[in-house]
Amino acid sequence: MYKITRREFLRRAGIVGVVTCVAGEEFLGLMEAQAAVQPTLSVASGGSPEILVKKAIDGLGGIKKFVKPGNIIVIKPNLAWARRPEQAANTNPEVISALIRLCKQAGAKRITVLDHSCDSTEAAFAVNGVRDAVKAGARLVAADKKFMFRDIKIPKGKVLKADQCAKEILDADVFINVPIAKVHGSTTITASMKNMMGTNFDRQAWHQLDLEQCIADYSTAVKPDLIVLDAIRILLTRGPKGPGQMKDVGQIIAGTDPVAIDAYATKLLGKDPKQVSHIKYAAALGVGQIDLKKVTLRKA
Amino acid sequence: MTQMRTIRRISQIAFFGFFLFLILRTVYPLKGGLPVDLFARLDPLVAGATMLASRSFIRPMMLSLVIIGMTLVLGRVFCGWICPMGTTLDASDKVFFRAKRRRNEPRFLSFKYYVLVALAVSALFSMQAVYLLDPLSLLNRTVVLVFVAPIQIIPRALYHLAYTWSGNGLFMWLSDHMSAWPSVAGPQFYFRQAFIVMAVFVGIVSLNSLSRRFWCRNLCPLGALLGLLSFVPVLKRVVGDCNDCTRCATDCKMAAIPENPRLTRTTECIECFNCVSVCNRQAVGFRFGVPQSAIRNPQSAISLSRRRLLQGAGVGLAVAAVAAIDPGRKIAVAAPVRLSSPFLIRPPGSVPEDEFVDQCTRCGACMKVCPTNGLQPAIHEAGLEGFWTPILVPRIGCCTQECNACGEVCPTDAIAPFKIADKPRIFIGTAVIDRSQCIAWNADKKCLVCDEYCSYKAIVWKVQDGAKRPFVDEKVCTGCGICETACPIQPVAAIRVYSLGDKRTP
Repeated sequence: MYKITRREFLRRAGIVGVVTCVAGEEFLGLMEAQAAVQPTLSVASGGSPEILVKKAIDGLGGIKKFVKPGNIIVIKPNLAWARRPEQAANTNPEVISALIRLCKQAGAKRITVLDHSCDSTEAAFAVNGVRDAVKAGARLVAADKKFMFRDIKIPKGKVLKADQCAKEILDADVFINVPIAKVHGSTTITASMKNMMGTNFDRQAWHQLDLEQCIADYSTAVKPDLIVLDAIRILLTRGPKGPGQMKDVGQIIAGTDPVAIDAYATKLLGKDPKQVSHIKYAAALGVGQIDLKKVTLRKA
Repeated sequence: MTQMRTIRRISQIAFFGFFLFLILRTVYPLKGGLPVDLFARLDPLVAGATMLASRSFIRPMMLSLVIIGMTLVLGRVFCGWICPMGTTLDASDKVFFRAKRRRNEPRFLSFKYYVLVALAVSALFSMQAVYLLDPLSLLNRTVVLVFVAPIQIIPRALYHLAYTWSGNGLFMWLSDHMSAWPSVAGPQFYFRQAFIVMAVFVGIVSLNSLSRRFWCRNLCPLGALLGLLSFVPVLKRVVGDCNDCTRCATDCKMAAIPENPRLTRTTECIECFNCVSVCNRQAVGFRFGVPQSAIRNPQSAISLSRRRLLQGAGVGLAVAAVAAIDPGRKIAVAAPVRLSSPFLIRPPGSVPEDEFVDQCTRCGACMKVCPTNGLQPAIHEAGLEGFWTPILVPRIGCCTQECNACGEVCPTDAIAPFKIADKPRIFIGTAVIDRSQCIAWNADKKCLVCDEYCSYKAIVWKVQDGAKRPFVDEKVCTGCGICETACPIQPVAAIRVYSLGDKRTP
């Protein structure tokens, strides 16, 4: 029989426990870091917007992984412009309604579609199809009034140290960013991180500081829980408002890494992610993975 | 017969409510069905003056024949039963001036006819000044600029409250429903000149302290026109067993009953049926009969002095003459730009400038409906003749591409209807970049906001001195002003819309 005193047992158990915890932490940390450094993008092609959205999110584990019953959801599409859906300047309204239906199936308590448009809200909402899209079961909020925003701090920001974000997004259980892939006259491309500008009230200031650095800084503080990139029809020239040359790519891409999503969008638009300043800056700030070779692309 | 007074009051309230309803419905995006400019189009004074001054036929204003026809048969029932200005004055009587004892003499009844002559002569010489004194244009303008815009503050404050407390289910429901109201969801409207418009309105209502319906009796040119048409109406006031108590004459709102209360000044009577209700012998009634000239008795007539009529004509002539020498009318030699201002930017679909200032009644409908609040009353930009006509002020709001609401609501087609699809070919001006202010030019900043917002892709980029610089392509730029609205340079934008390049219709 192996004899051991109580004290000795407790001492050895304590050492084993501490070592396990520390090592386990390290191991889990490595796993997380691995996930951050090796994010997953789920790319769905072939099918209607409804099918594409479901396939893309299923590739990440399904909507139930993100939305729990009783959750309050905020969906932030690109509703910036008074352009019709076929002009590829705003998020496809069928993508928005598909997402609303998915969230409802997962048991969401309340779904809000929110944006701060660039064109006047009335003009934008009258033509971009969102009013029909929200009939699938969401409330529509134009965050175009100052009292709808709350101050936030951006500690990791290089030029933007503090700003404002829409209260409903800060208070939501799940925040889903639904951008559309387009080229952009000022920032080369616009996808997930540029779409975040619609969660902010005073955007003018960003243009006067350093637009691309501000976009990257803001993304260190406001992070969507899920990003669904609309690449069904993308805008190749004269973005972000067009009218310009468009391309029917027919894809929806889902992910949680804004930099990876933007890098993928940049590739679809025929450009190099490392040449896009705000993506480069964001990668440097640790927002996500810019190198698509280090991204797991799950096709559906 | 005594219930007619009650029915008349109900009619006044109903039409007044309808008038307000139409104004509230004048909002983007326009719902079809009911034309929101209905009241303006029924106005024969506006029809006559605008067509005369602009020398053009304005089809939508033909609706005024309905009122002309009605007046020929029934007399000035428009004034008594329909006119929202009349209703406003009757209501303010009850509210503000009830206790005041006022005179009821027919002293200045003829004055409005002189006003009418002055306005007619002025219109004949192409200076349309009817907008100042036509009651429907005036009231519409006042409601839009002075009442609706400030009252907007209240629902917006309520929405703020409801939204802030929307953790509570009731407030969330409330804020969600309120956010669908255009007065809450749209921008807070701001209007120039609102104070002066308010002063005019308050002035007119205050005149009621002198006598009831002072405006209607003595000043209103529309009343004068309808009065002339009521010379021999089919509907007549008849008096039976009268004992000369003159209660009806004292009570008459329009001083239409002369010393002999059996007679009626048909050009003044608005068929309000007050005299019917007030007579304690029930001797007064209204009956249809063969139209006969009531002027057999001099007491039934208004005496119009020939001298005063000529004086009125003289005033009209003088107004037109002085307006004609205003430099705002002058066109610059080398380019079709008015000397009144380089920022005279008209709404898309506007008729050429000379007709525009004659056809526009300054009703304010286009200013009310413009979704960005960009249409504002001109102060000096359109010269004297263009006072208070709508111009686009891009710093306040641009001309949205997907909108043609102003052309849909203009009663006189001063802004003629146009198609949204034609917008890229309707040029109302041209944007010009001030390179000394533009930070992409003078500070090498990567701004590009004007290009981002431009709906027509009229901004082009060329590299000069090592950086991308914006240029305006005049062939494409329609002058919509969205670049000026969005430009981050304050208070004056680095890119501004000038009236050069104004080719208003496609």
